[in-house]
Amino acid sequence: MNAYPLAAISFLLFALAAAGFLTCGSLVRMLMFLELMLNAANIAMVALGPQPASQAYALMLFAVAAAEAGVGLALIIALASTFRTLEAENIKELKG
Amino acid sequence: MNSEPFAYAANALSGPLLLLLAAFACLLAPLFFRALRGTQGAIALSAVLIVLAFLRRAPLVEISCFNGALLLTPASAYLWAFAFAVLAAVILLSLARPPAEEDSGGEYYFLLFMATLGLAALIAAGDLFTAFIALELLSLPLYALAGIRRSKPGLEAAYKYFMLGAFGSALTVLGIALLNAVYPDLAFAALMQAGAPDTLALAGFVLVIAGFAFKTALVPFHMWVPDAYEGAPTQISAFMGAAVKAGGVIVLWRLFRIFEFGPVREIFWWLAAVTAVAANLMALAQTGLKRLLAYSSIAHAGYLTVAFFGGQRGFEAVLYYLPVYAMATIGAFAVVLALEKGEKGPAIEDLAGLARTRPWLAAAMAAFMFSLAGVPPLAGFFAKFFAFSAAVNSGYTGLVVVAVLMSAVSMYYYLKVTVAMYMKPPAAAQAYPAPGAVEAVVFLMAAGVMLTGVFARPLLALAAEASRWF
Amino acid sequence: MILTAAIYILGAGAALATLLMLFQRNPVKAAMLMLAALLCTAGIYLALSAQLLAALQVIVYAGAIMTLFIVAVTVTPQAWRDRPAPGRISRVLGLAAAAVILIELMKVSAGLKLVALGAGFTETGTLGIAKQLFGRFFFQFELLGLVILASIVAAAALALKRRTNP
Repeated sequence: MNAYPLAAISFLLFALAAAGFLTCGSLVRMLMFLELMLNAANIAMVALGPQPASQAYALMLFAVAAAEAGVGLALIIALASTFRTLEAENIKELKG
Repeated sequence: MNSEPFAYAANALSGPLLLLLAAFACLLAPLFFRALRGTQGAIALSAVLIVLAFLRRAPLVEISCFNGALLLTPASAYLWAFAFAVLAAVILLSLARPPAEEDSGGEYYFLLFMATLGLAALIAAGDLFTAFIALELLSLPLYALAGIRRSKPGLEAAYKYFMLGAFGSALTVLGIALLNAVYPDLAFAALMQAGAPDTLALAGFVLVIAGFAFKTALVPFHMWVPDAYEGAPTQISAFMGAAVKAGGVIVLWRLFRIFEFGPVREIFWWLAAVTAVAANLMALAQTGLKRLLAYSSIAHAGYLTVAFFGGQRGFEAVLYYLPVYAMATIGAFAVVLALEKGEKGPAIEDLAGLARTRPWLAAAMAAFMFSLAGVPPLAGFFAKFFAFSAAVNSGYTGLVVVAVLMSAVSMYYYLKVTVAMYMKPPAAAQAYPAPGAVEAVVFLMAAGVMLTGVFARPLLALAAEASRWF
Repeated sequence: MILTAAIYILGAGAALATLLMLFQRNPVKAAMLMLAALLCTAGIYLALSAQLLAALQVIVYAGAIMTLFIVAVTVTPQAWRDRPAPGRISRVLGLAAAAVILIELMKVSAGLKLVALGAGFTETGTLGIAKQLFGRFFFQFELLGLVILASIVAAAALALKRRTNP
């Protein structure tokens, strides 16, 4: 087996998650797709790079993903209690 | 073995460590000692001032710490001094006008310190992965700081900043994964020596550059900037404009320098040109002062990218440009802070008659606007002059023509602010509070903008010395 | 052979789950599909002989992050009344951007067809990863500690109920 199918899997997952992120209007689902994008990039990191450095990188990226999820979900909870909606379309306090 | 570099490294690293300690002190001391409630700002300010007071000239060597993850050079010393000075100004502004209710003071300063530490690590990062982690440390606190008031505008600004910032991070991670597949070592120095990249590495570089362009706010990646600057507390907008931009620009320069020619140069060319054109045209239609400053900051990111094309001299110009631009931006946001009543900042019409009601504030604001526009003898003119002339000397005349033309267009909206202050009558007689720390910051920055313009030599000499060490 | 088959099957599973997520309006069902995608990824790591990562993928991603999502969905009833956005142009643009990313990435990675992967199931020493983390990547790893700390404080500053009267 060569490395191409693994790269293809990772890129397919990344592109699908990016499509979801760019098209859906709900903040919770946008955040889910963001996590999936990081996850897909992680597959490419582990599958293609030199070992064991790549696994160390991937391990640190898990922590980054967790940190982003924490801040993002806190933001979502704050938004939900202030705006009473989680649709990006309905959160339009600022111009533009 | 010469012990001087070692002593310097210990000295230089003790600054960020002190800031880390101060961050914990701000967060924890008020929880455990009732008497210390409300003193977080004072703790924070004194810590930063101590760090600034003990800054030392760096020896002219490159000191590699932690297996090359952190490179201490005269350039990093210069930019650390810049970052800490920006932090001091922002803390002073936050002390004068608390951005959030009293109870959250500790978290506010803690997050501000964390963002500054992230910036410091980003500036000195020796490899791409360190730069990414440092960028996260810079961005995550700022997402929360933008929304720390938990009001509608603040939270909207925070979520827009977060979503696009995290999308940029994901692109960067994929880019790093691709580069990791090609190169055994992600250190910037190793990447430079690796020779011409193949297509896979090129794709990785493009993704990484796109990710960092989100943070620097170059044009196709700028969508979050106006909303984030408008909705965030004004102190944080000033920090974003001055500090975050600097971090992004430094990493983009490191990436730019890897390529002597080829498609990446063309990408940078288009980024610079499109940013200069689009940002200035969009700024023309703005009515809110904070949004105007946001678009102005995007435009200046474009000019900084133009300066990249000047090579070493261009980077010298960038190092001079960053503090000059930061002074004008922080000063302008301090004026916004002095005038603002709502959270979104004053409109440009609200400045009408400011020259009559508060002449000194109006004069300072005019100085900032003219400096941003690039009118001699203010510092902004020399910054733009050095940046553009460096690029012309390297043969990128077309790009500079675009930038100069758009810079002329920018005169219109900067003048609009000045005209409103000087030519229009005041709306109504209002009582103004006595001048305080905000006004002090305004006048410090105004003095800086004028002095570094008229006496450009000392700062320029420092920038020139620093630029050789990158 | 069986490892190659596993990678293909798990990759297809993850892609299918992500694809179904695109059309899933119910946030809890979307979270379950995400869980499926993350578990498939853990399987891929295992097939790639990255045992530690597979375990951590289950614990951190599928465990901790998913729990966060479920909690967030349950405390925000707004997420349930999720209506599709009316804007069509931005959706088409988003899909086009994702398609361009995919096609370009597939094209540039064609060179990887020549890179052979180590065949068979090996044991990647956890010791090797630990040596990297505490040796070569010591600074990055410590910086990451600050990132997590900052994110905890940031989350608290955004979402914790404030005492109005201290």
